[in-house]
Amino acid sequence: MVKGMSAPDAWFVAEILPHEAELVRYLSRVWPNRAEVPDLLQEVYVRIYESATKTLPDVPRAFLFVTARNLVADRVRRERIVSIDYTQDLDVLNVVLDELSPEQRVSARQELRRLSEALDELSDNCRAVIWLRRVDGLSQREAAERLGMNEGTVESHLSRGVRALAKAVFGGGPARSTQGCAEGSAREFENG
Amino acid sequence: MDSELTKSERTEAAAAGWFARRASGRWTELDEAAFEAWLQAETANRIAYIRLEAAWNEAARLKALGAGVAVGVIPPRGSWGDTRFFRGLVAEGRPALGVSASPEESDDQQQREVRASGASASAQSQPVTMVERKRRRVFAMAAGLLLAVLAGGYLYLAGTLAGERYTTPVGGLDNVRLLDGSRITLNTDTSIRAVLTAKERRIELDRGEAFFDVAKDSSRPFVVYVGNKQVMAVGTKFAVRREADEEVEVVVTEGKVKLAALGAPDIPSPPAMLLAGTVAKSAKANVLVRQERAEEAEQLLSWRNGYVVFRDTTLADAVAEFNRYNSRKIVIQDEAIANIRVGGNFRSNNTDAFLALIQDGFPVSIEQGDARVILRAR
Repeated sequence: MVKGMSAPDAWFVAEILPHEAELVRYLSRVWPNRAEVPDLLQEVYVRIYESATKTLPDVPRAFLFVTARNLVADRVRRERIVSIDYTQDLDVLNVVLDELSPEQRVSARQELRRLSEALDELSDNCRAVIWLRRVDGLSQREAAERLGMNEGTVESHLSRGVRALAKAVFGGGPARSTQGCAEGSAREFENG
Repeated sequence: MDSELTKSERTEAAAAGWFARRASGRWTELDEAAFEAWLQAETANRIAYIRLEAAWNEAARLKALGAGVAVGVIPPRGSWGDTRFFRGLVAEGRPALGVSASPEESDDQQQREVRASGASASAQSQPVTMVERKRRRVFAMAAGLLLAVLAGGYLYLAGTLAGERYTTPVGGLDNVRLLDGSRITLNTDTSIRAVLTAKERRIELDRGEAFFDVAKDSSRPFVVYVGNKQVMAVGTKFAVRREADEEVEVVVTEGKVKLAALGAPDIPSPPAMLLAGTVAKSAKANVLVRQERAEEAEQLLSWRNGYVVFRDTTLADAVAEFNRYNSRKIVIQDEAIANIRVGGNFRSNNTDAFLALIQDGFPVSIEQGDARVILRAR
């Protein structure tokens, strides 16, 4: 954990991150340029986090989506976007909020399935590094020796692998975050 | 290179760099100070970091896959398919026969089955004995259920060899995964038939538009038949659209494809090679090829996300595009307004937003009827 992991950190991980996939779907629906969605997501997160350092909201999920809607509305005003159908879609948010089920966490089995699929989509070396480090618990040096790589390479595979895993776990995050690590994968589809 | 990345990508890449560095076992006081400074610099940094860290913790679940596998042995991809398959049956109560399930689902089942029988064809050369043993045990336990599913799988397989038809209604959008791993996205009002044989992966596009993400298999070309044309690919991504007047449009976003005329001796034209970024329009014997930037070619495929994108498009073309997705058709009554240029991104089923903007921005009046919408000059 981050040294001095503060209350907002733990709160953010437990209450906000689990809604990431849903939030990304919402943003993709109301924002015309899909490529900009990861940046919007980042902005929403920053607003949420900074507000949480002052007070924690009672209903994190509702707070999250209202924040997202307000952010989109601000951006639309600022950028004078006229040719998108945002007004209508923003209002659909009410429906979205109603649709939210209380239990959003996927089951442990689904989670494992998503993780194993993400693992299998990594390039051979990246996959091997993630396996040895995460499953077998080997140190970087041990992994490097076993794979005949230098430690720097292991480190860079780890950094790319963890991004792919985060996408699998939380469902959003920057586009192309698995780039370079998921070469040869035939599954780059967005089904959202 | 970095400048091409978005802000969030740069932040995440930096966070991942710190994460891996901290885990490297070579972390120094100096690193710690720099890391702290980076965390403090921007809230976004901190968030990106705790997100990756949380994901890493969550990924500890992967240890379940390592049970029974010796440390340092990396199982081949998909070795957990069978156990997952077994669990899927018991825990989810999934119907044993995949025949009537959605293509996606049946295919999933089919894939598992291929793994179960053909097994390690795609496996890498790592030792798998422990996994095999575990697999056998699971099989024994699930034998009865498995037989039922195998039967279902064969029925499904037989159906596929004879050709599987996939269709979408007006306004529909669907994803299909074929047995070879290729993926097809079907746009509105589309009908295709897929026949996979040992020699060829044959797709017949009877109507509409589809995007193909072709799995590499050089021994079996992937061929899309559109009327009297064929579009051939080995491993690539492209879309084919068939229009009413036998016009065919091909958009290539990755790799290359070959566009050829079929059995028409009066057409001497050689096959056209289309590279990534190419948009080819072909009517009867002619092929009009235009090279676009990759993003523009990609933009022509916005329909995969449910959008239509117009860039300096005539109102007539924009209306025609909307009419593909909606059963209530828009009709332009006055030629005078047909050439108005419009631009923007629209949800393909949200005609109302489009019409509202047209009305606001141009001298156009709109008459809403039950069956159709009429546009006039005002």
